[in-house]
Amino acid sequence: MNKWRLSLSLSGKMVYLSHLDLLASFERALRRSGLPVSYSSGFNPHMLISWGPAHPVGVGGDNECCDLVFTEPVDQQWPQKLNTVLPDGMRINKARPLEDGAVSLMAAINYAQYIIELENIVNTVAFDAAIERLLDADSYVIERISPKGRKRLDIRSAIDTLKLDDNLLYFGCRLGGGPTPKISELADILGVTVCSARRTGLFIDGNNGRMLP
Amino acid sequence: MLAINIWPQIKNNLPNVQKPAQYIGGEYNQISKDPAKVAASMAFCFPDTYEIGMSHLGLRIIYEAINAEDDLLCERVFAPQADMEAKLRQQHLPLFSLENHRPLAEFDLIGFTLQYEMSYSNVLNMLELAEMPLLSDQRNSWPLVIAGGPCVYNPEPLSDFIDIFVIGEGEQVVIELMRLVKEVKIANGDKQELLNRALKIEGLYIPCFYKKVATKNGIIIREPQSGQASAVVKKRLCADLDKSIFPLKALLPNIQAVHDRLMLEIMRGCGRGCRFCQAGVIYRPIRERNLNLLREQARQLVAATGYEDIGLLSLSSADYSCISELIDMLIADHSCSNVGVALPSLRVDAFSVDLAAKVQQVRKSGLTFAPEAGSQRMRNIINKGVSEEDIFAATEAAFSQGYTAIKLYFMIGLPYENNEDVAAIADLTQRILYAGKNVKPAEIRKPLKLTLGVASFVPKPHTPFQWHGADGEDVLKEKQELLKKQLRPIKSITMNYHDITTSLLEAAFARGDCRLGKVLLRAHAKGCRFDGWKEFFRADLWEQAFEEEGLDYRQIAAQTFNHEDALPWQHISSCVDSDWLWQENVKAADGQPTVDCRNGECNCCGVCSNLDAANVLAQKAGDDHE
Repeated sequence: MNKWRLSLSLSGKMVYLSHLDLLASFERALRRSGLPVSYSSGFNPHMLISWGPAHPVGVGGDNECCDLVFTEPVDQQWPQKLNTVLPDGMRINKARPLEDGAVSLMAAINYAQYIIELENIVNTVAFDAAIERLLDADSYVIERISPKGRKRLDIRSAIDTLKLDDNLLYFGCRLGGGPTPKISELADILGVTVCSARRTGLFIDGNNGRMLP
Repeated sequence: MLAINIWPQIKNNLPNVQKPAQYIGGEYNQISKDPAKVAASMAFCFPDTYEIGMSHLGLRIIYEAINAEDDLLCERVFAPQADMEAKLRQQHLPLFSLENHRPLAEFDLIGFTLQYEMSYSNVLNMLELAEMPLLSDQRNSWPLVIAGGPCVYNPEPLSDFIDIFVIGEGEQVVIELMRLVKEVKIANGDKQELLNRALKIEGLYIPCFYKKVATKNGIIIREPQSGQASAVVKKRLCADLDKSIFPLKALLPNIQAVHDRLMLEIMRGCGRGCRFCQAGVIYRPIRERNLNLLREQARQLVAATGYEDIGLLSLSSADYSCISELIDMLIADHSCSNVGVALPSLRVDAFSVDLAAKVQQVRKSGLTFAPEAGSQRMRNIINKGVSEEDIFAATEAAFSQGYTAIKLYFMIGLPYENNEDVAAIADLTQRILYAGKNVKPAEIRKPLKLTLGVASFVPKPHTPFQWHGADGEDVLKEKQELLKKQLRPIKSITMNYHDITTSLLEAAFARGDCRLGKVLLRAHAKGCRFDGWKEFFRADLWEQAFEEEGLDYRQIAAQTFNHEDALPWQHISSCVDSDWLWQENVKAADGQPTVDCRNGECNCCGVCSNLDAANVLAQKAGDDHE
């Protein structure tokens, strides 16, 4: 069994890396580790890794995931070897051999759970009203300005749950359907200031409930 | 004393800036020291963005050299981009280093590397963001501001701002200077004491010891105030590259750098003697690293970084004496782990394409050649030493091996150039394309593509062409138009050319005198920065700044000097004799060749005798010398 599915955590300064830079960083660590990673053939061979949904810049992750192919069977303990050469803030939590024909992460994962740490909410009444307004609406259109221009996006369908506990906001987000809000956009809608945010898990949400990939 | 660290304040701004990873530090292999526990510290400032600065080998070498000393510390600083700069200014936060997020004013030395004249406005902007007075004579205490890099061979445009210029290769002299800082600080000495004592270190130009003297042709030169300062400051050199320090645990950039690969420096210096080339003069003599040492360094670098490409760096890597052996060795050692070799600078000949073919065993990249000029007459004038046969041998070999995209670099505006020489660029390019179509393997469907980079020649100090003025705006425009007219209709040829105003400003700062300091101050005050970036360059503001100082950059760029004229940079020496440069300039007019001195025949440029050094060539494996 040479194909593995792994879950890794992102914390500290690593959360500021873009998804692409994170990939490069992870691949270099794999090369340093000397593990027998498989490469594609062709003029520009690349490592056979496929990632789950990209992590948003600035947001930590407890269970980011990717699939990785080795050229030969490897020892069960291989993640330890990789962990010694990963940058501070990047760490493999779990790895399991993947059965043949498993659905790819990108195709399977359709749900993300976030924990957003907020600064003290001064006006709780206004905050509760804002959450209610958002959850009661059928559609909620925001404007996103990027270097490429302005876009109007309906983010309502992506928002599954929003629950406040103390100063922690639990956000359940549907992926792969409509556009998803950035954490900063969500904060603007709710009129709150974010201290930090973490994606605690990526899931396959189906008829049988919510499962880890 | 507790070191100040402004990371919490910087962190707060990260969600609201582009590419926040450029401000975080903490890269893999970063060297971290406690600033409170060292005797002297330097903030190494690269006056451009993180992505560009992290591609620069000089930064890596100096960083390694200083941090290898237990009592010394070097941290990195890059120019913040506009969004982060605005946040720093709004919140009154100072510019900071990446390792400990420490304000620049907390260091003993602030050291800039000057790689490009158009980064000078960033030097001033970074000083201002560091909350430092810009002018040297307005700073009476620590930190001192120093500068090195190729542009310091004419330090004058920045001589009002920089306390000490480091001329030549910096890895040894910077340690000497920092040890002096340590001594002076222990004795509670001040800036003036440090400057006085620094006069004894060779390779340092300290402008405050030199007076400004006007010459009869209207320029300002520098002469020593007193007998203490030497009339000419000679460059520093690492005579033996095998013994000099090299970073083997290379820092891995957090965001993709412009050149994001392992950097293996295989030699310094180049003996080809292209007459426009400043690097070819200031890095003389040729010093190649030992083959086995390089093999070992590559092994360690690959293991420490996990990079997928080994870049063989030098001014002309195909010239390295044992280049084939080196590439074979590296491929043998690393291809099984899918690590490739990259040759960033290729010569224009078939041999180089063979090298490229070896390199491509692992990973295939595009090829770049620099014929520099279109006509043989011009190539003789610049002493490029490349014939049309070489050019066709190289490009046909490349196309027949299956490369479909080739980049070609040319220059326009060279001395003695006429419109036929410019037209020859278009003609040559079309013939290369035509020849390529004939040799292209049938199985390759992809159409051939040529990309031309056409730069406007900028005369640089310490070159045989240092006495020549740059072509004027109209002439350069006409030459660009001429090329565009001929090449635009051809779909498979793309032509990129340089902005003329930028080139003329570069030319003015390359050969200008200390009066440009005032222009720079004005341009900075008006908001000029990142002048090398098209999207930020403000020609109108530069125009105003020059006008207000009563100077004209076009005129400075176009200034032609005679042999007997004083030059603004004559107090700085590359140790290549000025008479030899002039002789080369005279030979250029007749297109007479000068041979590469690596082949044994000395062409008497003077560098070896002036520095008591010599060309060092690598020996093949087996007959390795001790």
